[in-house]
Amino acid sequence: MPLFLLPLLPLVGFALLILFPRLFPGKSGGWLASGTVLASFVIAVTRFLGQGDEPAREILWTWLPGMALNANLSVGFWYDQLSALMALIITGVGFLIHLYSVSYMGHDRQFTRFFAFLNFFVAMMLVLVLADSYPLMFVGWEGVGVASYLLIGFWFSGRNSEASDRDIREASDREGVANSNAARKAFIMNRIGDLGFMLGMFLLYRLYGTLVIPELAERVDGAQVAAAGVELACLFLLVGAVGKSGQLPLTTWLPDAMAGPTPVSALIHAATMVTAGVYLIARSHFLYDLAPGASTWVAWVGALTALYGALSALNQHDIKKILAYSTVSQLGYMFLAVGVGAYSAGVFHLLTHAFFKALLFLSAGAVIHALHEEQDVRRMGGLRRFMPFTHLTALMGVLAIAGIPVWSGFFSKDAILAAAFAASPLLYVVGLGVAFLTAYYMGRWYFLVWRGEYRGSVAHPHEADGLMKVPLGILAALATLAGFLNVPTFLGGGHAFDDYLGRAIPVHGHEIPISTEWLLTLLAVAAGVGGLLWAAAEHRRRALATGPLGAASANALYLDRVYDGLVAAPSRALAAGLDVVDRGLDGALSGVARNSAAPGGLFSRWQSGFVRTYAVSMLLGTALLLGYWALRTIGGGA
Amino acid sequence: MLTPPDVALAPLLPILLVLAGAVSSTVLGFHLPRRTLTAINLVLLLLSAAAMALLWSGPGELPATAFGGSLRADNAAVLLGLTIVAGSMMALLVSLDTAYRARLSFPEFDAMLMYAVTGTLLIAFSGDLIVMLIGLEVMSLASYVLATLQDSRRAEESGLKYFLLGSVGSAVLIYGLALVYGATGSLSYGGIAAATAGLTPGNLGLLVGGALLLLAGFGFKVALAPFHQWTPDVYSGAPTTVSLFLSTVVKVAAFAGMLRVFGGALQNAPFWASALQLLIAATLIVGNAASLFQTNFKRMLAYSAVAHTGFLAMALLGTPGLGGAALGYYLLVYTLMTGAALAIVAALQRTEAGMNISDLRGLYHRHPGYAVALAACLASLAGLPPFAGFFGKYLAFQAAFQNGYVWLSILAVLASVAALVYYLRPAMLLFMPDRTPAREYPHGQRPATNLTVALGVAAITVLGLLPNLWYGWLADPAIWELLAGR
Repeated sequence: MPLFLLPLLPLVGFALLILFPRLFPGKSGGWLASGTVLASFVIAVTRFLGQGDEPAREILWTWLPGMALNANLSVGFWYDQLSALMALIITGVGFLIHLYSVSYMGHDRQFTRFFAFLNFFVAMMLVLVLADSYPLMFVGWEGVGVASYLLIGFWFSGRNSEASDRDIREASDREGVANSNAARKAFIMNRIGDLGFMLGMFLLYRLYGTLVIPELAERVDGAQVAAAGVELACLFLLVGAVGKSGQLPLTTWLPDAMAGPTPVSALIHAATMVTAGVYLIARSHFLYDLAPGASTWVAWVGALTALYGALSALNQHDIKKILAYSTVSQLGYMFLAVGVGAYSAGVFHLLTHAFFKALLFLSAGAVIHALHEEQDVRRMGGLRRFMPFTHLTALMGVLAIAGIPVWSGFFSKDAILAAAFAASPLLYVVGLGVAFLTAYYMGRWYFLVWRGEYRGSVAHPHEADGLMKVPLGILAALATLAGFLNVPTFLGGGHAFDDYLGRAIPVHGHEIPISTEWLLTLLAVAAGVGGLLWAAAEHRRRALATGPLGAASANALYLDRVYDGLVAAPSRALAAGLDVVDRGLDGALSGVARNSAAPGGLFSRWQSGFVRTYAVSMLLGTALLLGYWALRTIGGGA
Repeated sequence: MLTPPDVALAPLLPILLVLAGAVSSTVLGFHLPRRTLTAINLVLLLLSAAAMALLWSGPGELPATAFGGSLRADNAAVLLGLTIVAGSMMALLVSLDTAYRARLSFPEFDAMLMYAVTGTLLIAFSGDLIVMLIGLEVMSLASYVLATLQDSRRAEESGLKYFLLGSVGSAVLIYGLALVYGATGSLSYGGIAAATAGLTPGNLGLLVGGALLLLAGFGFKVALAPFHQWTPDVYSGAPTTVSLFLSTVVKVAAFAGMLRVFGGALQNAPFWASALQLLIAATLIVGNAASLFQTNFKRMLAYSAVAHTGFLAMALLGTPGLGGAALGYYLLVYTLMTGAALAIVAALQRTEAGMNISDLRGLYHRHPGYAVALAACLASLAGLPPFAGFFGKYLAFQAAFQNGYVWLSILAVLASVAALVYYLRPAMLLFMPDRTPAREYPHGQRPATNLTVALGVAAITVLGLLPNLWYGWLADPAIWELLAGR
């Protein structure tokens, strides 16, 4: 089946839902949206099963003049192992989250619109990962940015804007303003990243004369290009990736993005969109292989972000914020992996993270639902009694993210840590520390929400309904078992995932003695178990509500405030100054405008309606033309 | 010794088909209802378009000619002819729904319209000044009648104005034609182009004088300032269907004539280009400034047609290869977007005076389809991507800019910024909430108008996203460098 169907089906769903919302009463819009994504998933599976070793390229139509090698750039899709995998993740996890949303968003007034946006997002994300050229990838890149903006600000007027009670309405208004600001923040910070992406594209085109990815991959080897140029292009692309993936320094939008509905956080801000930066770097591996300097930057950006996210997650109180900072931190892991050249490890972590983080978010959503929009973990606790199924699935997620053996996170994190060890001991130490912190804050999340006694105000929290349980169950199974796709050699595994992806992206094997690998694995397991035990001990002392680092962590290391001081305050001052100038200019300009509007009135008066005046102006015009020429000729000829 | 006239049927066929439509409407009008006649005419127009498409000459082929080169069915003629047919079909389709209300529903309307189309095609296919003039007069006389046809004082006033001023314009044009003949001794475009090379100073004076008078005459037909003043009065006074026809087809034909005369015959003649740029500058200023102050939507569209004349004419200043292609692209886009916008006016107006801009408030809540389509047309007219109007403007500006008309291009860009204001203000009003009673004509099934609008909006969207669908046919510079023939 042709590749264009993959993004086309959700796009058709989007068009139907946004243009004819009235055709879809009740929940039928949600079912339609889920159906299109399911159809895309089926196509992705059939394509995956029929996939050969050779990548496929399917060209649709000619698009931009000149931007390919001696040809016009065409809109085309590129299907290799990497894009196959991404398409499977996007449609598979996407479908589960659509399904979950049918129940989760069931009472929302804008139910159909929500699914229209979700479908739009899936379509754009598929364009992003299937694109055969950077410009087309940029189309998807911008598209998911728009979808993200729309969905973060989905409750732009608050959830109770039409409530009869005045206090509720005012609170809802405040919430609406906060949501809108979060959406704008995400959009604007992404713009900075997009600028980097664009500059990277310009530079690549300047260096190689093409923006088609397979053509570039062939050309970079033989081309005589200044190394500094490639380094710079890779750094520009890194800026783009950093913006989209919420890495340092453009990270602060991602925690705020939790203002969107929880399925959005699960799909866009955990499983798929934010991993686009990792995908971009893995896709551009042939460039980064030539740019060791830029790769080191990638690795360090990732390591520092992982640390930053973990430290910020330690003392959060919002059930989703903890997960959000954890996402920031896990994305840092992926950047670390692709930065040290372990593309396969990075993408594998992307896969497992998509499962367990989506699972955790959806579990959090079920909790929020059960507690009537309560999000503060200090007012939860003991929910394991009320929601046994969700508790079980959430536990699977926690074990996976903490890196406990046989759960998927163990295998993927271990691969990254081994690669980091082979590259630089310092990176490894940071990575190991983050693993320890991760286990702790996820343990804290688990104990605060599920264990201990119930501290909430809702009398009888209810278990998620059947429709929400299905995705939870499937994701829990995947989060538990996906690790066996890539069991490393020293554990007697077949590392099937590395082999598969290796056909598209080179796997740089690292030379570590088996004994060392065992040691590294034991250390990683010790970090995970240790972190969980620490959390359990604190839980026993009932001291979990306040995490370590106190206010510094709760305020996300004050990064927002730093940006406010460094960027926002000066630009506000600048804006105030410009405002004064503007008002002055405005007065002057409106004076000018009043005077220049006069000709418009004059022209209308000239339009008297009398034929004779019209004829006179025609003849006068002719005479003027001839007179002008006569003057020019006399002047020039004399 | 007498030579038999060089008659070839193939290049004549598109024109004859249209003429057959005109004659059959005249003759059969006594026996058949008007809708049948219109259907016949639509079919004939389609056949004519097909005949034109068959005349397309591939690379290396010589274009078909007749009457010793007086009629040239070259690729430029085919492309412009297809644009004309597109506009005419839009006008006919819209008239199916609105002619009855406008008290225009008699066979003469169809006959006159088809006569006018015959004239416009003659202009596009012309190979010498006489054929061009015949076509121009056939077109003009028929359109004077069209403008007057409705039995109302407004229409009579508008038609009479059009006729009187048109006579002045024609007189100037014919005088210029005579001077050009006097200077070069030839009426065929090729002969004039060949003769312009080695002229004595005295004859050169005659040539330039003639060219300027031709410019003034054509300036009237396409509505360049200061020859534009009839435009707002006639367009807003005539029934909307007629305004649609006048502002699209007739203007395309006049531009086709300008392209033939100035881009072909007089392409080496001095001075007309620098005079034209003054006229364009004046048109841009007057058209855009006056549009800002209109309260009636139909009249605003009339002024916007004047402003667009300025943008379109910029393509004439480019080198023939680039400018011709730009003009060809822009003319089709202009026809589609203006046609669709006026079709919506025709469908929704209560009287033939059109509607006020303020009446458009909240249209989205009453007629969502029309409102979205109108917004798309306005955005395209304003030159916003992704609609085709953007590409049209871009190509025209580029043509003028690359040929050295820098300050004019800057003025045009500034003018299109001003144009944003008057196009987007109604577009914005469309989507405003509104609680006043609707002011549209409430009744009626309008399938033909809906089809026209849908096709027009779809076309400007598709041509904006994939401009090469049309531009790919136009892009060959050889088409436009040989307008006068070899």
